[in-house]
Amino acid sequence: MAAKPRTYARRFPEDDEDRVPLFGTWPVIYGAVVLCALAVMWLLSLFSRWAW
Amino acid sequence: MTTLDWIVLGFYLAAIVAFGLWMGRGNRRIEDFFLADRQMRWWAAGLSVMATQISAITFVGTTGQAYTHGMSFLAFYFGLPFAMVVLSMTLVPFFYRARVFTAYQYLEQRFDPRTRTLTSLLFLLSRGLAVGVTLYAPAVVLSVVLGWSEPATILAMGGTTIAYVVYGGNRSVIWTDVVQMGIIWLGIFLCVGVAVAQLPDDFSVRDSLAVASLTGHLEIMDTSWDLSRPYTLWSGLIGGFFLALSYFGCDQSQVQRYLSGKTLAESRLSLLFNAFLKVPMQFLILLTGVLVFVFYHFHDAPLVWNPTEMRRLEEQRPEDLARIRARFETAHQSRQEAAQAWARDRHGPEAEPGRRLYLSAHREVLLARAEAGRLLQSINEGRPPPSDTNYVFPSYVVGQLRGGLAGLVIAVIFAAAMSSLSGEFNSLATATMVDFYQRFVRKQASDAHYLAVSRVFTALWGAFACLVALQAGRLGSAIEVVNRFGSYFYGSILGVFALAVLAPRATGRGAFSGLLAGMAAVALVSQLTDVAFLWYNVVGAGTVFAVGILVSAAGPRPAVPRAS
Repeated sequence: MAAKPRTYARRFPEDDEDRVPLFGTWPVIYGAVVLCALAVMWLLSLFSRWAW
Repeated sequence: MTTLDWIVLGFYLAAIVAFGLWMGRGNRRIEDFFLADRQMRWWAAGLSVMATQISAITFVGTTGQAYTHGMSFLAFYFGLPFAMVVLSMTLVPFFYRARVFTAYQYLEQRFDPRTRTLTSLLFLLSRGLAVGVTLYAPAVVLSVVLGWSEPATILAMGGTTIAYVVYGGNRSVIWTDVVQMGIIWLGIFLCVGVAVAQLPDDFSVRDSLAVASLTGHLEIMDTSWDLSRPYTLWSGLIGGFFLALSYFGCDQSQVQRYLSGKTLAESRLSLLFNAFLKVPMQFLILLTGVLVFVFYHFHDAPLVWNPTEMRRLEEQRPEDLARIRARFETAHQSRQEAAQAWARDRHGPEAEPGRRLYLSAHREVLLARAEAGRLLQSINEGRPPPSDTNYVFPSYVVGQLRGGLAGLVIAVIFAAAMSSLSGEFNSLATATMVDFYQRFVRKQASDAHYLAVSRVFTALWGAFACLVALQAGRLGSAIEVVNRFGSYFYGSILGVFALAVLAPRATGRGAFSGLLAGMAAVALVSQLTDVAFLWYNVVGAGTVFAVGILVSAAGPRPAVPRAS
């Protein structure tokens, strides 16, 4: 009998790609981080230019 | 420093060593010792990543930088959140799935043994020398401020860190980092609170920020495309992005922190945690420096912040010093009155004349300081005096904080130093053991043997750092060379990892040739142009990637498909 090809799961049994802690999927989490970083930069720009 | 301050500082040092030893018990194998048995939660690994990155001189130097030049340094961190996202998507899963101890181990799986050996050697060379500077730089400032000798300060920082890292390994590193980050955050809020509380009654925080904006201290977004300017929006976003990619993705002192995550998700989250917190944290540290700047409008400020240099002036040039001091005090008084008058009338018709009066007085303060600097240079036989910037914040802490708070904030500076040193000792020992000892010295040995030798390597790297720090005063400008040394090939190492992940057809030959070409390109750019250092990473990574692709395409196809 031919040997089974090594599957992703067999090569990386500890992998937990499916376990996403919040927001459903990793791309959404990454998107949230990028949006947050852009928002922080916008706030910093406001802080920098604010007429105190 | 009062007795209470010394008690607080002494308690911190004793408690952190005891805590580190207690948390680090139970190591049986090098996987325990180097990767905390891969059982760390995201928040602990994330705080450790943050603590390893923030060194004492970052903490002291950044506040001093904000005091003298304002908050433009914040741009340095703008690319970091985006780099964290890219690393979480690319390198972190590769490292995690390959079950490696070091980042360079992955390069052998993907390319060949010599690429692994060269990149690991570059890490050991750069980080090994830099760890001595990490120890020396804050020690020289603290020794002056605390009145300790330099060797005593170096041994207090280095010795206590070695004690718990040698015994407890990465588990001690991470858990002490967690506590130390807590202390650092507490210290940041404390300093902001005290600086605000000590403003005059009729001068609000808003008035302080208004005055700071007059001198450009609040300018963060410099949109200039001038490549020689160090901190612009673009150098921060692009150069800072590449720097963060190479530091967090290819430097073992960082990689080892998130490789200890319990799962891939925990490792990713530890980096994303930093993406959220790093910029706000640096903002608060810089804001502290700006508030200290405003604070010293209303309180006596020394003409020269370094007490040792001030004493030399008093002893060697008392008449000149008295004249400059009189000029400085007059200007300081005028600036204080001008600041209060402008803050009061800034929305009325007197705003513009008041602004001009304030800026003129501020310029006079700067000119008096510059004159004192020139006087110091003349008694140093033409050599520039040591940078005064790093002495501003420790002098403020020791001179202005009361009731044990000075001891606590000095403990924060110790915590920042020790958290960097601990991660660096541990990662240097890991690369030495896994990338060299286990491959070239003892391929087969018991867990007990490898664990004992790992502890010896940790102790040796700690001792080497102390030795470099003790000799650093005699090395002079070599310190700057060491600091620049790492930036010469950080980007190049990043280029090799980018080839590994993004170019399936790249070969070991291509990667190795690209690495050499990248380092040569950065050396040429640094020698022949005045391009700011943040761009070196872009040049290095780009050259490695381009040369690596070309050489791979020109040579024979790889016999083994990529490991990923």
